[in-house]
Amino acid sequence: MKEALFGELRTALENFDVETAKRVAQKVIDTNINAIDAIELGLLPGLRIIGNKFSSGEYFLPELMLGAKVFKEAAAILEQKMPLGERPTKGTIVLGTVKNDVHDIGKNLVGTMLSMAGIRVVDIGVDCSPEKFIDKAIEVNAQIIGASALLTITMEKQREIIEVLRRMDLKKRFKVVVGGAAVDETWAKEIGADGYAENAQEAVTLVSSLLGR
Amino acid sequence: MRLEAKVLDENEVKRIHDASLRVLEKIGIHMPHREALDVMESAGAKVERNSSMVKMPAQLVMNAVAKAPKSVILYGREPKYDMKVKEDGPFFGTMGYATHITDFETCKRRYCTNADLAEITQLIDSLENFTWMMPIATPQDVPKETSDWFAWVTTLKNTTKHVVGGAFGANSVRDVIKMGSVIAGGEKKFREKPFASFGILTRPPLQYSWLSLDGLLEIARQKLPTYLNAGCIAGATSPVTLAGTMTLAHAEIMGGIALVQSLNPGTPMFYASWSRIMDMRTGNVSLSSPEWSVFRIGLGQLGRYLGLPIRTAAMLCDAKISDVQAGYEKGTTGLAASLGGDLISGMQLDSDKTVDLADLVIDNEVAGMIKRIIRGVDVNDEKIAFDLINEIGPGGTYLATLHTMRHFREEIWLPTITERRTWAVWEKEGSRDALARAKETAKEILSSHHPVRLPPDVEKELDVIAASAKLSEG
Repeated sequence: MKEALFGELRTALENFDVETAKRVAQKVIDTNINAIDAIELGLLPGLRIIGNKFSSGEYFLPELMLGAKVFKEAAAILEQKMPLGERPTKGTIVLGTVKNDVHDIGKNLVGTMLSMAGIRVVDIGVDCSPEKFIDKAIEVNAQIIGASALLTITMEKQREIIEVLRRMDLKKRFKVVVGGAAVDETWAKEIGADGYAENAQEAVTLVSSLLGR
Repeated sequence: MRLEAKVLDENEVKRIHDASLRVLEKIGIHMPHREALDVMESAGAKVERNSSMVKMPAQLVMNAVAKAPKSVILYGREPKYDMKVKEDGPFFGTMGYATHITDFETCKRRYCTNADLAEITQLIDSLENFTWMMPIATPQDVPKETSDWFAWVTTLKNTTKHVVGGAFGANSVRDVIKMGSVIAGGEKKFREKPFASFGILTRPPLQYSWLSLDGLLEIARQKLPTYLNAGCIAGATSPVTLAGTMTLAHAEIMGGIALVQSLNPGTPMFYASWSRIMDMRTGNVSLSSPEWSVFRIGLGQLGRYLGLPIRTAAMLCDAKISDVQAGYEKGTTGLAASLGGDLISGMQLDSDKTVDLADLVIDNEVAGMIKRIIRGVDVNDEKIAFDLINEIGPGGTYLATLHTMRHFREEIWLPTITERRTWAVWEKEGSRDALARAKETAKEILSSHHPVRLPPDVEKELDVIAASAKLSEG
């Protein structure tokens, strides 16, 4: 019975069928089947198929993002019954765009890819002050802060996050990674960031390695 | 007849236009600025204060469009650079606000400095096919928050061509008027023939930022020319379908026109859109895809439907360097996109992030070719030349005739860096490719061209305006 449901979850994901995925997820909850198993044996295999097709060039970003959306909505139903500490995750990152910058397409892409890699992403949106990043990181017990800046005039805010962390003596507790069209590796080194990624795929590798995974 | 292009038939233009009006009426635009909400409410729009949403009935929008001038003149500091935009275009100029430059000596990419911007502007000032420009780059070695003021000042110092720049809040507009007044020798003189105008970006989908609205309202109060530029990204901030993106962009632009004309009817405006696609493999935005050209032509048609002069963008490249990709991008999308408007900006590499002095020389050449193509054919008795055909008869030659000598310069485009000699001659002189020749030309220009310099005390006053600038906050 549960294998059949896991199979339905996987197929729903492959077909980008959010309604079926949510319906089956609810059935898993209603029949007291282990929700973690449903994610790991039902949803994740479906997501991996989409991810592999993206890597091989058969799928593009729309398929990736839609697949991630189906996964997220179904997983949200399954996670209702799970206490926070039990939810399968490799770690938590607080992701946002810095103060005075409202660009978020790249950040959203990175967030999606990180979620698909099993990392918990807490997205705080755009135009975020250093304090907003840090307060959230403390609240959700994150390991990493990810700050995006598209403009050269807002890049400075990434440095500010690191400076505030130092002042609050929190630099050792939270790693900071930076990205965005304006940013490069030289800048990341200059401001003392713990890492820089050129694109969403690199972000997954970077964050995973910083989490020790 | 001038070369024209269409991607929408009459019914399709009307259909998209009507859909855009429905977007404005049923969905509305987010305008998070108290004064903008006040203006729109007084004009008869349905304003929801909590959400800052403005819904505009079609009548309000079209009344506003009717008030926008259908003919706009942009002035240079020298009369030879005055542009009667719609009637005498197209006029080529530069896109703005790149961040990097290809170093002339090392050919490596690095941040653009204020000194670089001065040098590039002097080059653009000398290139005959550019009649106007935006500050082509934002200097990265000045205070970041007010770098746009420095971009304005450095550009205005180094050219007498018309400058179109960003408006970053109301005080930046007033500061640009100050700059113009200082240069012209008084505000009255500047306003008689303003050689600076503005550009405002929308924030798709269906939003204007507080800072953009603050700038736009001030531009309207000052009644200076501005373009409204809707840069939807198909598949990301607008429907992936081209018709859907055009619907959204057209709505955003008309929403801004409604605001400006409601506040100060008769403010000169340009219709503009740099709507583009997202590359679905990398997530990066393309400024030179085939769809770019289709958008420019289609949105140009929509702008013409409103009767407005159009600012468009062409000859931008996704190519990182001035290579073969840059060549085919300038050639294909460059030509096609140039058919979409009157004021044409371009001339950057790396998806509008990097400028290159040698590449600008190539752009100048290509712009010349495109201008010639667009000019089309001039038909009259003199040019049909029946009498000459009769005189020369079968088997004769036209080369040494007065008619040829009189007309060849205006009929046939004359290249400056394009290689047309024989292989042997080309090889003997070093087998140089286009970029190498362009680089040499750039060097020669920079060593010999001297733009009209402002008096030192005027330049100092401009520096003070930039140094004491403050960014508005909502």
